[in-house]
Amino acid sequence: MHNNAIFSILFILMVFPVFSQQNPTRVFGKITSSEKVLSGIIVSLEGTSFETKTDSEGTFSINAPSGRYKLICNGIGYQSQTFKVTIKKNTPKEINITLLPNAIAYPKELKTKSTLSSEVPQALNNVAIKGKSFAKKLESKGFAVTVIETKEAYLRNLQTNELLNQTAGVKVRQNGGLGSSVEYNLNGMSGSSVGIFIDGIEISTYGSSFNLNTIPPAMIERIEVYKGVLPAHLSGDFLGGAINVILKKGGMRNNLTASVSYGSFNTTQADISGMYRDSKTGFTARGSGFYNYSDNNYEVWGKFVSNQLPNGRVENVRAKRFNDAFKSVGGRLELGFTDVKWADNFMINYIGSDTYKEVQHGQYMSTPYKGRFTESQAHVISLNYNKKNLFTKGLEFNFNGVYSDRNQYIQDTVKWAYNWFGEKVIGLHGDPLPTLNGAQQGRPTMNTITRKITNLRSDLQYKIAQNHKLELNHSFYIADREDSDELRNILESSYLATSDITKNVTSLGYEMQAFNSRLKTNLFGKYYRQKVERVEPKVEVVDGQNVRVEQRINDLRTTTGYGFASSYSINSTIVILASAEKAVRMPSEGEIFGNQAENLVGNPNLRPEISTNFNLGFRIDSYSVNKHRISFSVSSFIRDTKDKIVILSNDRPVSAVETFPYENLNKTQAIGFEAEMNYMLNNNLNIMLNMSKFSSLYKNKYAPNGQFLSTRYNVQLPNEPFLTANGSVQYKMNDILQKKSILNLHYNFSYVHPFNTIWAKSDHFMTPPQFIQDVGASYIFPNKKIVVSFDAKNIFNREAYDNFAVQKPGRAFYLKLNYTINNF
Amino acid sequence: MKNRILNFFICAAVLTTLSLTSCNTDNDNSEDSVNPGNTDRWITLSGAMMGTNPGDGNGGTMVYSVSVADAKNPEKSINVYDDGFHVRSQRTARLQSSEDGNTLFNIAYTGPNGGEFSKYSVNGGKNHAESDVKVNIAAYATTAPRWVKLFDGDKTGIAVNLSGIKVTTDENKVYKHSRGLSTVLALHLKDVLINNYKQYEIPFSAEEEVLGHYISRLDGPVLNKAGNKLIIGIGKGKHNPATGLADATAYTKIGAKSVVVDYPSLENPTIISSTISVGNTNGYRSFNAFLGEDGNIYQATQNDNGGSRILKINQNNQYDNSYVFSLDAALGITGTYVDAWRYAGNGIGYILYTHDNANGQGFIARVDLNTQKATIVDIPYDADLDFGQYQGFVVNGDDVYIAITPVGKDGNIYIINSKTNVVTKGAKLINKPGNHYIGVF
Repeated sequence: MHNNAIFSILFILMVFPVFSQQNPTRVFGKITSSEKVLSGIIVSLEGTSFETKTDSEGTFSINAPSGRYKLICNGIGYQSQTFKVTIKKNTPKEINITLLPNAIAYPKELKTKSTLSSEVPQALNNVAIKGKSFAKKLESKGFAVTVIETKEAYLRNLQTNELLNQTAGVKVRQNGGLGSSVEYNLNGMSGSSVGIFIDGIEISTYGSSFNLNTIPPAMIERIEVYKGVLPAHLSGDFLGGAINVILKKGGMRNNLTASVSYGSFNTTQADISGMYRDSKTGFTARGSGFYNYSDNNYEVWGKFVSNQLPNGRVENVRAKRFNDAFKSVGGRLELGFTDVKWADNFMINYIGSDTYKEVQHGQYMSTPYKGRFTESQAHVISLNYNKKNLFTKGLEFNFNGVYSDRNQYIQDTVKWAYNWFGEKVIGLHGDPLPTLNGAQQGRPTMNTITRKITNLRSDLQYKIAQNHKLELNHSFYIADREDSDELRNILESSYLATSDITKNVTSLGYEMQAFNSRLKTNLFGKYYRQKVERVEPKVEVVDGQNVRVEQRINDLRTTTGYGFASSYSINSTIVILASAEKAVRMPSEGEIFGNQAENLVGNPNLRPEISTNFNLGFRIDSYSVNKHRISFSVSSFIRDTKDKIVILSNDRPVSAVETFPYENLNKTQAIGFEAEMNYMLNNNLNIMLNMSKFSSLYKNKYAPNGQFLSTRYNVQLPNEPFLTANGSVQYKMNDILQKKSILNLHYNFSYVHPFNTIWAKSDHFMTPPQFIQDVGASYIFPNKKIVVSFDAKNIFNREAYDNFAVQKPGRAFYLKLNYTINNF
Repeated sequence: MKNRILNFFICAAVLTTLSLTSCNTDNDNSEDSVNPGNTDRWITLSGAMMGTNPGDGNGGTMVYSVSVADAKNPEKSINVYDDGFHVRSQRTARLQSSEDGNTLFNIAYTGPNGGEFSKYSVNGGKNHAESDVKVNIAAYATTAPRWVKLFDGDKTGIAVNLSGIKVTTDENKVYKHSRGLSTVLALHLKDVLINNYKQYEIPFSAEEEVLGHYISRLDGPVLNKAGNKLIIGIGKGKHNPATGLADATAYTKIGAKSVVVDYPSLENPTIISSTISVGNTNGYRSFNAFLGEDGNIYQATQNDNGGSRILKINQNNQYDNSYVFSLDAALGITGTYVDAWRYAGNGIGYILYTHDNANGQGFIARVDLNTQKATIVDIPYDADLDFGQYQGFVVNGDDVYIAITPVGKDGNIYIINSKTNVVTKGAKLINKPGNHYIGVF
């Protein structure tokens, strides 16, 4: 039924190819700043695929059919500008433009009016100040994608995860304070069904020391959040969507930015980044570094924070977290060439990072830990090559190869039980109580996991004709993992299984524009091939002797997915977006082979988990009346998941050990919508509101005996925050204290509706309603080099939870200083 | 208050009558008077909701209480899911009740409050008042403790646990043994506090240990007649000495065992071993061993070769290997597996079991411990009847109350007279798809 609908839509979209058959006319010109010619500025005709970059002389040239257009100039570090252009047949047009620098990169909406240089011909006098940022462009490609620009956030005391959490349809669930483990929920899908990428490469490649907990917003250009349907170039087996973090490329200007922030819980964060480019040779060097530290010793007082008296009685307490410190250091160095003849971008890249994190508790806060910690390091080398018009016009090649050598160490050796005051728990007989398994979380461990990962991604795009583009993408991933626990004896260790996993994902995409670029369509198919090789040591008796024999097991499975994304502009402000995909998640190594340590029995016959995703929405871009500007978007979605891989419980163990097998079983469906509204007055006041509501429904209709499961079928799954809302108000004031200074005031709230964490209706297991409010201010000094920001978070000191029974920080204050030097 | 005093007297009267009746039966084997027990007590039904799979019971536990008259009345309907009270536990609650039915005891199983012991006074219907003091035994017995009440007049609950199983090798890296830490903990049910606890490493015999056998689980404690020893059931595990990992080969099982500790000191753990059975003796979610009037303890086995058995532990706290009671033999079937059972007095017990080729379907048998005979109880059986999680029986006078509902289907309370074996259909139990009733308290 659904499938038929998709195919009919696809068919309709395919039978309307529109080719422009006119002879194009040339539009050309030169772009300069007040001091010099500007290379690498993107010049495009809005709403079309005509786009080019200025060369080293600052000149550009576009061939387009006659008509009326809006010409847009975009360059990092410069205010974007738009001009109305009328192209007449056989009349080449020259346009020369002067761009004004951004003192400090600031979000589009807050930009001051740009002035037009005198070189601009009279005919172009009618200027609309309206740029289409990369974000807008991506958001109107048809995918259910939200683009978060970090331009403003990095000035403030905001973590990358906090930024994500304020986005419609995204819920970040973190197990404690800064640096603790995080799970992302996109429109009701979470866990391994959500992919996290850095520049299109799976984040697991970079290791746990370089992730969204540690990367400061200052290093990030933007974050793309794809809900459900993934474009062809993000090739992974993720059926819930993906978060793609685009690291800063730094633009074309030499610059140096540094910031340092200090606040509650001894939280210190610093980052520095800079870039140098020699405009003659194209030699480019970029570097960035970060440092994060927090004691995370915030106070907790929720109903699950309790100590035990020697006689077992439970006593609720207020206490400070005492084993939760977090430290991370990392850096990135890039050397290469940009905008040279043989490459648009050729970079060799090194990322090194190191993280230390103490672990305060497990899934719940009930039992505090002392002395459990993890350490991770990663060394990542990558090569990036990008060239447009390679060999022939219209052929673009992109290659990204990453090799990472990373290791993670987990230590848990403290044998005593501790209470929330950080003291040993005293038992009935007056003695300290040892923990039951010999360490805080389980058995004592000093475990090192070493992974060597190679991830190669190549992407080839070819413009077959003016409005038609083909894209071929291949991703190759191989991971080699080794575990060694110093506290396991050699006998056990030598019989633990090891495994390698190889993944190949090939995708083919086709992008088409029609009806004067009002209709944009993306079609794509993906082919997944996964091979898991496992070496399982076994004992065999040879000549009466026990001999260690390695048994090799190979598991190879392939599957396909496909989808489309489409957008249609009704007029210049209203866009309708639709997308659908059959997405795939391959069973993981653990699910196929099991994990003996956790009594999990693998199932080599597991089928891949399949989800059918649909998104439908519309957006009204910047609808203006006088000084009021409003934009609005709504998107609805369905995620239909089949063959969900679950663990079956086993009541009557037939073997001596209780074991839990994996099976393909449940059907679930997430269905919901999200909405976002932006209002701006006079370029000074900006109000944003978003909300997301969905139901994650249990879809197993019948019990094995054929009985209709009326009490469960179509019932909301527990432990899903299904109704959330965020809002922010920003107000800009000029010339406060000093002439030419800018003061920005911020207010944020986030609301999470109560949700049940277990199937049964129970007040005890219901989360409280959460309404968390933050305020902040940032002051930009007249020289535009220094910005000071102050943020107060959770100002009313409310109990805040991401995960049930894990309390988040209460009231906290942070101060941040940013310093930028341009053009040294 | 008045009601309670009244209850107490009725209770006392009943107990007296009961003991007199028992004496009578012992003396002249007559089945003259039928003892209806305490007709003024509450009967509490518990139902487990499905989590993700029908019949898994992982969605939490609801309870609802009715009078004895209502429980026996087939015209009455009970619906714990719509009308009941949610017992605080993320997964299936581990319930026990006082002998008079006026108090429910629960230890939450897993979740943020796993290991928390709480007490509810039963006031009929969904009215269950929780006591304001709580004890958490998670530090001693994990957040998923196994526990039962002793038959000592509602004074004591015993929680047991085994954790931290560790493989030890000698200096040549050759396997030596696997052992875990055993915990035995006594709860003061009235005052809601921990009475006593002891922790020890209990080894099997050297010959057994070198083969890789170890204690993997403890459960089903029972107090002996003298009141000076606790007998605790053992689930056995085995590692492969060649690899130090779980043994997946078809190894030879060793004899069924129990741990014996001094009571109330909980000291001096020793292991006793049966030559009759090679099963486990820990049961699953309720009692697995009972003290008979003859002073012997009768203990069921699971995972036994040739089906479940009932073993006898004599007053010297040793297995009586002359006592042979195979359920396979007594019922003329193979692969019997005891899910739960309850001793009703006078050598009579009721066993909930399944067997080979039954697809996990549950059955009830009346067993006579004195004659080693077993007969299936005649109730309407259903392919979806599953006692895998069954927890609670009420023995009130001669009456044994059992809640019988196939997964997802309505059922009834059945009241079986342990003397006459007359089966009476009681109140109707309204069920929901995927759910089942798991006990009467």
